Amino acid sequence: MATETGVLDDALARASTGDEAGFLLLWRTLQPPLLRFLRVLGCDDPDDVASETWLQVVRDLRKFSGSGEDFRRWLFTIGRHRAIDAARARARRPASPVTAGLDTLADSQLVEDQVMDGLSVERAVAILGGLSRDQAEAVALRVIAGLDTPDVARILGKSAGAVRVALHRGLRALAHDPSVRALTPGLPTLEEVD
Amino acid sequence: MTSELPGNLRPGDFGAGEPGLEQLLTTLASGPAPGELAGEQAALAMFRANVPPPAPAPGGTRPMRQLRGQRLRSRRLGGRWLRGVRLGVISAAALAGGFTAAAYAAVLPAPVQHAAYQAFHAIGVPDSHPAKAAAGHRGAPSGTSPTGRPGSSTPAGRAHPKPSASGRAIASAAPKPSSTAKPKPSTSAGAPTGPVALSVQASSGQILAGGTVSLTGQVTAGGRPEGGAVVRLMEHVAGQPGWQDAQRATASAQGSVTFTVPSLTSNARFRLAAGGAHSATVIVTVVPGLSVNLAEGPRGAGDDLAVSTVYARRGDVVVLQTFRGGRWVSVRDRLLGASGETRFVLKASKWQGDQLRVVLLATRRHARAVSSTVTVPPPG
Repeated sequence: MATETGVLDDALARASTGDEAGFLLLWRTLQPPLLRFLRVLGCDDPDDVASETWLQVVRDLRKFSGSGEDFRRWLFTIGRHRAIDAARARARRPASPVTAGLDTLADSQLVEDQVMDGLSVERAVAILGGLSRDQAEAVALRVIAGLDTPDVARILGKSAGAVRVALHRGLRALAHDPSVRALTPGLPTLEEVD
Repeated sequence: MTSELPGNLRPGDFGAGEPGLEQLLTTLASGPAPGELAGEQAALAMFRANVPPPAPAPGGTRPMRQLRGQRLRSRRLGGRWLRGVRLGVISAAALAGGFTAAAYAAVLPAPVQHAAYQAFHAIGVPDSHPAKAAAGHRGAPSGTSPTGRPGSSTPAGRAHPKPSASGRAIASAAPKPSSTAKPKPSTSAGAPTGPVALSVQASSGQILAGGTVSLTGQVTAGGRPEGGAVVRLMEHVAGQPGWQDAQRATASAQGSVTFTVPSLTSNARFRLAAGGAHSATVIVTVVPGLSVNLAEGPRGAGDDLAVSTVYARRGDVVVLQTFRGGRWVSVRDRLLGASGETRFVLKASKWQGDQLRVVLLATRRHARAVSSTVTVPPPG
């Protein structure tokens, strides 16, 4: 983590001066966790929301001052706000019918999951997204975003104690989730397979 | 349980001894998954359009990119920049086509090829290292003729999924076959007669482990069959790192090509590559052989349900199920031993008349397999 922090600090300093390589390093490091976090929040189009997030980040980059870890917290704060905006916009729009393409996508993902990845990132994110909103956000920001509890509390606007409680409950709920228990070799309890 | 978990979590945060949860958390915090970095060029274009490049050195000339960046800069990009960004991806991909084509063809200097592999292995660029022998199947020829034969080691027994008349293996609850892939246009501008496109189709999306799969492809250039093109079969075997250059073949005058992969014992992805282009990916899953044998034990000792598998691995999970209330219900589970076998001891007095079966759970290396059904006889 310390090494990654140093890398982020350096990349941020370079990106702030317009260095493309520095920006790409930031993007490559933080785009995957940002996408996963947005998926946990239930974004319809996480790529689009992530793009808007990075656009705001880039526009305000020159005004930003702080370390790489500060930047990480800033990015996820913006991402969360953009996700909330997207959800509100979606709520204002009339519902659109689900297209057949979604079924195809889901099927192919299922195959991918079973075939190559065992537990894929998509599947893991879906499991996490099954928690209540406050628990899912707390776990996602700690585990996926790599933020510490005080930073998570600042993003969520809660006390550190409330975040710890949500995190603890979320992890316990995940530990008892049948799909998570099924990842454990030996299946200690009787579970339905079909 | 390790002490280092993602998010600096400790086992005490959620209770000790939860390897399933540890796996989940590790996956959530893992490195980039396929597709998660797909928008890199678009992001870079956005960065160029919004951030001036570093100031030139004193006395230096104004960088050309700065001029371009100023032209590109637009305050209108707004929240809908993604559409433009997607176009940027296409443009960037086209610009990168020459390099990508060279990387696909593995003709770059070794260090550069390796760097290209690290950056683009997800889309099929091979490494500079010689192709490793694929551990997922044995005896795959590197020639151009389909010399493989169907796996002769397929175990006989009613527990195995049976191929249909069309040659496809059947497993009722197995993943849906994904045996075809549409052509993916080439990004190379160097093709003599137009963009190269390839398609590939597998003879079956799922086979018995140890069996043979045929992959038939079509290569076109500018929409016309590209006879004589050298086509490479790329494979990514589950559990192996990255794509490997498995076989090569020359397209017929009609632009078609056929590869045969014998003795496939692990799930694998396949794609064809030629002229800097590659096809989409097809996935072939394998179903391990799974058989059960119920032997009546001595009086009072219980019956012995022996489970044996072929091409499953030590530690894979088998679940004993009984048919109750119109559905299969799991009642016990076991891990396979080193020989791919395990057993359940059953009290005949408790289970008599019950229908039982065993399910081998899917792993990244193989699909799910279901045994035949056995009925527990009354105690003798």
